[in-house]
Amino acid sequence: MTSIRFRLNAYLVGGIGLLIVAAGITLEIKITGWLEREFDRALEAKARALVTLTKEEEGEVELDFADEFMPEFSSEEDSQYFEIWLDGALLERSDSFEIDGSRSEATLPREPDLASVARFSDTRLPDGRSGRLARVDFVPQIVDEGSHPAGEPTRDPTEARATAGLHSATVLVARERETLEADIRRLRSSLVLFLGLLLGTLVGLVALALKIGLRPLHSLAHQVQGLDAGSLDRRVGGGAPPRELAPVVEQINQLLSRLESSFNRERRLTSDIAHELKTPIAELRSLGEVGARWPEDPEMTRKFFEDARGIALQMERIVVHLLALARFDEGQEVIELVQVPIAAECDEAWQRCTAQAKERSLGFRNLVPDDASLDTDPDKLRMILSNLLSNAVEYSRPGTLVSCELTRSDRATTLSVSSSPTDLDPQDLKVMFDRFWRKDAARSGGRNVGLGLAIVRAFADLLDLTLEACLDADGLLRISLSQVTAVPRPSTKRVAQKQPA
Amino acid sequence: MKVLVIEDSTRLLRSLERGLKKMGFAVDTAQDGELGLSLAETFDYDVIVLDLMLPKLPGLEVLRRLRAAKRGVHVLILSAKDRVDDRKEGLQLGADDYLVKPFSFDELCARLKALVRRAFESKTPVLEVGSIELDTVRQRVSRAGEAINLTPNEYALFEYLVLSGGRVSSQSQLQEHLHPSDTEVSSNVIEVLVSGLRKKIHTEGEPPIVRTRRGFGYYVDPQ
Repeated sequence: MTSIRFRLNAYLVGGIGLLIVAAGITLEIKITGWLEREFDRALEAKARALVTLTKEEEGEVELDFADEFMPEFSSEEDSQYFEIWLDGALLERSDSFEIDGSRSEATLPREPDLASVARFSDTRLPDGRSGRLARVDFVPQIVDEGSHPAGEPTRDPTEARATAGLHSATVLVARERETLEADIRRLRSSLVLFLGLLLGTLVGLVALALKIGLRPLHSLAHQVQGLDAGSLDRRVGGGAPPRELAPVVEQINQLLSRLESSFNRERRLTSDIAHELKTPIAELRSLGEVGARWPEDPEMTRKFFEDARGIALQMERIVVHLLALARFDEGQEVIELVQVPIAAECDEAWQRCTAQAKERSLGFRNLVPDDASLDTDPDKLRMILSNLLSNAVEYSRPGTLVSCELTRSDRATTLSVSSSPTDLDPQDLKVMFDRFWRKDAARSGGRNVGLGLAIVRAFADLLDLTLEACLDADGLLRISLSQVTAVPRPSTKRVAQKQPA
Repeated sequence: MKVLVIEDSTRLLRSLERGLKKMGFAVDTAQDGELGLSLAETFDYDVIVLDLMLPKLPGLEVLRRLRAAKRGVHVLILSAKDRVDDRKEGLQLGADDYLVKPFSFDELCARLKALVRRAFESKTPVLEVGSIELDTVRQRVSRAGEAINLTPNEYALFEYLVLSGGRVSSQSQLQEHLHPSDTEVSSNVIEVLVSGLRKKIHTEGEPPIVRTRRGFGYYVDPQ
């Protein structure tokens, strides 16, 4: 399993570590170079000093050298070496060539060509140590100022040789370089140690920074891990999640909300179904047990059978409605779009309610023009109208009017069913299309189980009809179904897509 | 025994009323909470069977008001609500029993009888009065193992007097407990019932079991 923390650790430590190592190497190169240059510069300075001390006087070139001023060329310990060559012959050499009482015949390595600038090279000293050699070619200074200008000891010797009568000389100065190399080694060790410490500190700091920085992520992961079906009311992220996590937290919380409402809906639906079925089952069981125990009363038995039939019809209604909703939920409802005459459908739907409407002295007014039609599925529209009108009949105040009306505008055709319910509040409009919703919390009465309006909403969605309900100040409830006006289509058949929950 | 059934389902109410009457209960019914509460406050019931989801006034509110009015009548909640919280709430509000729908009619009767016994502070279902044995479960009266045939009303009267444990019950009390509240009962019905009962349970040479206290009513001497 990949780990963000591990990856960040590796990338950050690797990246910054590489930079630090590169910086260390560069620093080492620069410092080493500077030390070597300074070493060479010091060597050259000594060579130049010897150049200055080499003079030509009356045609004879000699070195005006005193040991006390440059003791390093005569001391036995840590001694340095110089040689001065004149026109290819050794003119002078330092006392340091005398090793262990005998004078060494070895000379410092000297290239045959001449150059006006100082040249440096590594060499092996006569005492066997590794050393550094500086070579400077020059024209010895002539003491007679009238013949040659003084102060040009470093005049180009090639040019000088070309000039008749001038000597070309070379000074070679060498000294051991082990101390330099030891310094460089110490420097490198210090740098390596420093870089090691720096990298170690970096690893620790990066780990600490990641721990602190990733704390909200860990917290979120912990909270998400603790979620299960029983804790969907919880929300993750706390008060103000970091900006980077805010979209994730928001999405998770939205998902939780949807899951919670879905679970609650499912739980409520199951509970509602159980409850709606329990009462008729209790009725049936009680009828059966009492009827079976005292069968001697034929009138009572007849009533019990009637009741049993009523219970069966009620349960059948529940099952039919639930199956219709289940088919809708599964997207299995097939709709067939044709031109449906609305006025006739309204009349037909009302016919099915007339008996009950008569009992309640309800009137019906169909204001839909005879020639009005909708491009819709006739069976689904019939179901919608049947449920709307039977609800209107069931819950309207006795003696009031139920009406159907069709209005057209440029944008939509709207079919409305109006009634005057006995007891409905504006806030009921938000929930009246929910499954198993009934105004009467007691759920008394066997005809309706609170699924009719849920089916109306489901089928309205299916038919792309906009369903709205409004209650005016006089208590008139208007439920309207609007279809966006479109060019009439030929008869088509399609499988409905379930609306997202 | 007099029972008030408050239940909004007409069909269930009809079967319960019929069955309970056959079981010897005097049954009053109400289909909404308001009427139920009104009846419970007006009459003296031995047990009330109370649905929770009632129109006009919820069952729990009926119960709460009854207990607030210090009415100690035993209440059995009969509801489709089966969650533990629902039962807990009902029992905490003062219900004496809780039965979930769908239910067995026999179980309902047994629970009602248990509540009746509890109302009369009797724990055993078989009561003995002298040589007579009264089985409240089987609704059977016997002497020395020989059954005495009583009519349902005679049985109900005898059971009520025995459960009353020697307390004197007036005619009006007996009428109230033996007949539904909306039933017109003539004044001598109780006298006729008592007379018939005495004839069936009395044995020559033994003191009368059902006794009369002039001007007060009837009682059964538990000894």
